[in-house]
Amino acid sequence: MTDLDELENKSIYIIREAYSRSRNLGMLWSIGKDSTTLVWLCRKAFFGPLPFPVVHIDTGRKFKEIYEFRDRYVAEWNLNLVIARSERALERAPSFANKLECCTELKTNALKGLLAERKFDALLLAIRRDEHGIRAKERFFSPRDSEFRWNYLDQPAELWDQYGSPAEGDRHLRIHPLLDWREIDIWRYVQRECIPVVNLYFARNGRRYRSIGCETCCQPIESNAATIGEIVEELRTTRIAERSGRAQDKEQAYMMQKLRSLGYM
Amino acid sequence: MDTHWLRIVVVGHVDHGKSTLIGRLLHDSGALPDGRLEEIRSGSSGGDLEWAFLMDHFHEEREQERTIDSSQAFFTTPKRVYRIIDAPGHREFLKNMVTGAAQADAAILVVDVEAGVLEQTRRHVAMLAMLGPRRVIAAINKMDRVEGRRESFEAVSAATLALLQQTGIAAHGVIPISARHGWNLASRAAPLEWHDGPTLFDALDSLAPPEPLSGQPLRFPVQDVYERNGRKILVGRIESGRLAQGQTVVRLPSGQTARIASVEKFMENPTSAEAGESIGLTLDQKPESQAGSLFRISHQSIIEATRCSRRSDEADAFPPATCPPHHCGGYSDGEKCWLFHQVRRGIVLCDPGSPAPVARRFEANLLWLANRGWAQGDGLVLRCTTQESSCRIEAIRQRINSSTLEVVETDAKRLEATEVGHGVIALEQPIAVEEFAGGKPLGRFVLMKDHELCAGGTVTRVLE
Repeated sequence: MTDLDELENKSIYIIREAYSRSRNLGMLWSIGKDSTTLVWLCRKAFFGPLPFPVVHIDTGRKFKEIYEFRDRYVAEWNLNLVIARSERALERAPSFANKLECCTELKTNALKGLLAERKFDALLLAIRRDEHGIRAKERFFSPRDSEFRWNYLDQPAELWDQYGSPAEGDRHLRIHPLLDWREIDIWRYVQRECIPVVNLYFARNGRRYRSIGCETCCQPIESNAATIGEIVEELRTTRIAERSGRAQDKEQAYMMQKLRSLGYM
Repeated sequence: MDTHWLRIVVVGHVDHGKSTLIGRLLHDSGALPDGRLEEIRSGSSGGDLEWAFLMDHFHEEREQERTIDSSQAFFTTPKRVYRIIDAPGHREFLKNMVTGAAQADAAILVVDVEAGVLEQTRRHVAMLAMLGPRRVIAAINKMDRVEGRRESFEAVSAATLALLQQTGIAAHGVIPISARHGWNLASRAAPLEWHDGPTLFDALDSLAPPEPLSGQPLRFPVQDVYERNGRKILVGRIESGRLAQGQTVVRLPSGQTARIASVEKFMENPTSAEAGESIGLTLDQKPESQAGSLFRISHQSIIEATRCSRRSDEADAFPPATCPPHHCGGYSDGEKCWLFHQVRRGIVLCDPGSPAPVARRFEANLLWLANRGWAQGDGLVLRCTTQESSCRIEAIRQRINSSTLEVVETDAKRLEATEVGHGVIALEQPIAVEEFAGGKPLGRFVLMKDHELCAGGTVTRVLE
């Protein structure tokens, strides 16, 4: 087995464990490379059709390429798409004081609304440890209370692929099948499996997006990597952090910790 | 370059420099992106660079200058990719340390040359001896504080080796280092030129990759059962050994045999698979009369299926009330039924020539992790791979301090956080279980109480 096989097999195990241990599972699909890889792995885990919905948190500010990609593969892969969108927050958006408020309102609170409505007790998320030091501290199965709070100072033990079960009340589990993957592993796997990805990742006129989200808060990097193979080569030698183009990680110290303790992904 | 990475956990007593060592390893191997060091420098108080901030990301960790939870990062040497796991050194965060260590292939034990072997040094070594990994490189740290003196190193080195030997762990090198200054990590340093052994990077690169489990007897615990076009697909991960289409397997605990009709992977047509692979398989059996579409099974078949794990008076009610997750984990939402998946979970397929023993009682070593201890009479649930059963601790013959390894009490009625207990576990349902020696997957288990993982354990003797 190669390292990619090892990652794939472990992720499939966790996805099946999530389905087996939850009553009402959902999956967050941001349409980026990581969560699209997660959809791919879910298709492998369930031999094709996904037995649960995929949730897109729509801030109304995503790139148009993201919406086009979403609609194409919802049809092609026969996905049950659920859109989480807070119209009320979108109206207030121009008056948001800062990015913490914007992310919290348009993403975290939109998801809160959807969870209350659909009663998901577990969500699959495509976060990876190497994206951010705070995400590096995550568990595979990570409980959240009814306020979405992450009790990061007292996380459950995880031993030998034994994970906690959802408990009573409003609590939900965040389940992270890609936690062990690195950015370069995702791209090598995308290459090996021919997984489709949004074309924003590929360089045009000397620039490409390395991480995508809202158009307003993403900056492209300088790059000539126009194919998956070239992206893999670029990542082998780069000295630039993956999320350096993402404003939400920077604005103030501990921004990511604050966002995540409020329920951000 | 090896295609396999190695997972390394860094353990040791509080303040002996674990996070600093990792920060320095990341830096010296060139794993840090541009700007990270400057970010850390601007966050550090005073003149000294806080290497630990590279791993300690919670502001509570930075404020209190201690690691609270385990973290992971990656670095690369010319030989291979390493995934490095930080483990907190405080006694109160032992469950986080064990969570980190359980994912590792080898460990670096960090010991402060001035302080020597202390309480958590001993406890962490005991944890490694019991739960693994059992391959350890000892790094005697802070050699800069003793001006690189060889005598200081040798005293602590001897004590560390004695500790490892006492617990049956063979050391893969004892190396004098200074994490802060990068001495003997990637390259040698003048103050330690008397050291003729390997650097830390050399020692890591000389570790062999973990032994694959495909050479051991077949153990395939069924994780779930999916229905697809009327076919039942048993999914799961092969924990050890290998299997192939056409092979006869024995189903534990019942002991019935069946033939593997097909090995299933999406968009592939494999005929065999080996340890580590998450697969599906179908068994030769009579075709199902009620062929449902995927994930949808008629109510009648569910009631039949649930009878085996629920009391008969419960099974008569339909839709069945929510089943306690520790029982079979299933439930009904009133319309669709999902109980069926759970019913078959936990069967273990083995080669008929070398099946695992089936038992309801076994002797084990337990490490109690939950803050709330165990008291006699507490109801628990045991999980071993995908097998699950209610259980009780029948006896704790020895209650052991996990740091000093002293027996605190014999025939104990309780077990407190961080203590080790040697005792007997009695299960409600028989399961396939074997002695842990040699790292057998069916030889380790966890105990759950109210959804909380509260203990990890290893089987020392299968009884009956």
